[in-house]
Amino acid sequence: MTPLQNKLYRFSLRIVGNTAEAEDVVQEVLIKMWKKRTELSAYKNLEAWCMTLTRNLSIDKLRSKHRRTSELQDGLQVVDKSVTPFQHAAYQDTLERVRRLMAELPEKQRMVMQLRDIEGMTYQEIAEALSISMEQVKVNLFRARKQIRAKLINSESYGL
Amino acid sequence: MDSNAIKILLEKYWEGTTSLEEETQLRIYFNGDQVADEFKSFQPLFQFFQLEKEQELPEDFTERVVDNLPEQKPARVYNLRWGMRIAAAIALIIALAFVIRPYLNEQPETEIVASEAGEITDAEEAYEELKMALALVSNKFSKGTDKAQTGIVSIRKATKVIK
Repeated sequence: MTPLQNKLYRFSLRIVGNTAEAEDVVQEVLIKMWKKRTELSAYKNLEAWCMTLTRNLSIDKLRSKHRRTSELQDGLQVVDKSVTPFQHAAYQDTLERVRRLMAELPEKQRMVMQLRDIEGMTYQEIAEALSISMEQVKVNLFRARKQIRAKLINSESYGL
Repeated sequence: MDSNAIKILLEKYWEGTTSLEEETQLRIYFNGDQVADEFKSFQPLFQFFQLEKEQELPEDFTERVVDNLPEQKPARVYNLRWGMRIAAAIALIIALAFVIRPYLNEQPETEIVASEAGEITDAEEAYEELKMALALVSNKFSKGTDKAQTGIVSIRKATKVIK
């Protein structure tokens, strides 16, 4: 199992919020890579290419899911399977709360925070993966952290 | 790590100015069991990051991807079949060309002979025709020699002048 594969998986998971669909996305990325294996050496930054592809496929998936669920039944609660039973035991309520806080962030802020704080990527790498400027990466990361911090302090003071 | 250093690192973190190494230090600190009370409210965040980092694809994921790959095979066989069809068609055209070619070359020749034979029927007429043709050629030839002669004369004149 390559580390990149898991990185793509976590990235997709953050967007689609569902393990089965995140797995589908990674599979699609791998198949695309396999089909393009002869051209891959031409890409300067393979990882950024994969990240961009993962992001696009995940967003597509999310949009089609929204469309499907809204067609089926408005307000239908999509079952969140992003936490496996094993992890569920490990998750404390507080961690679950952080997960929700992060999910509430605007898409770009959430993706930047994911790639920086969970994947440990440099600003340059994040900029390439998300096709945004370095300045945008810094601004989004700053806003994401600021909001998370405020909510953590807030919930603390209310004793939640 | 003392709490003062952590406080500075945390401030930098909220400002978005920490390096990756500093962020790793923070993650290690908050996932340890000696977190100072004043930072306790931020502990879940870094615990969450650590836990998320460990989230991986299922063990059998790669196998499943490989299992799903053979779906492409029929398409490839289909392509090969098309290739074979095209190759067969080309071979057939080439073979046909070889068979037809002799006929293609013969037909125009026979046609010309036939048309000429149709125009000139008796020997007399053919003889006259031939004579006319030969006369035309000889006429052109003699014109040519006349031109050449005048040319030679003028060259001689010129050489005399030069001498």
